[in-house]
Amino acid sequence: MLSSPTFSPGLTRFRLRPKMEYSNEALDEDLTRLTGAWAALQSSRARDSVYEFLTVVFDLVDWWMADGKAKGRARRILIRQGIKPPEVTEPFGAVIIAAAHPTILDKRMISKWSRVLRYAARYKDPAQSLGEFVKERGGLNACAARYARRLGRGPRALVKKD
Amino acid sequence: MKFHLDKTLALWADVEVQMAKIHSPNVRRKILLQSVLCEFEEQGLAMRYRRANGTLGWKATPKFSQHLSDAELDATDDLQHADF
Repeated sequence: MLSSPTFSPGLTRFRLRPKMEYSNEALDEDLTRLTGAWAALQSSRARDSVYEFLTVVFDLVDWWMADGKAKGRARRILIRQGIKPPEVTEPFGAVIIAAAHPTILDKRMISKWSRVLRYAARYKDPAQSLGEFVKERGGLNACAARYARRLGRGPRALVKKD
Repeated sequence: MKFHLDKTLALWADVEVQMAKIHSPNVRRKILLQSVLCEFEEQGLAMRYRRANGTLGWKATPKFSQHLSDAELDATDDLQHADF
């Protein structure tokens, strides 16, 4: 616990903001956190380290979604990384691609992680960690399959409930 | 709009708001606070998150928490080795 407020983070600059904005500088800081999490995943041999990376991705896109601007910001983060955004942007996939840049990830892996995160965005209790949520439901592959059954395209998604 | 800040961030944001108030005494506290939060966010000290009720909140980033933790350890160390 902090005992005395003698240390200040000391803002290096300050200007009045009449509106709450999400600037490119703020986006870049989030991108730095994402690339750091990706680097940590790459250097780790721990089995659960993928959940730490996916949690950083999830937390970012989750608040973008709550703010109603996930797709636009996903396009922005791709552009900030020098990646041409696709016509239709899926925010979780876009953020994973931006975090891993310049590493080119396997499309199936991006798709699987993205489905897991979309499933969690829909069904996860905010108080529960992403890792716990996914493990309780059988792991990444099982969650991706659950997404396909419950929320994905195709007739089964419309009628089948698990 | 009401801002929800975690305990650590609330403390340091309040320090900065008070500093800003000295230079801009006629500006409303809400504007000062949102300006401070945006600056913190741009410096990687604060991040937004979705709260359990679906609204947005603000919390200290892991980087800021680590920064504070290091500063506290340094201060404790200095105190222990101080020559009074």
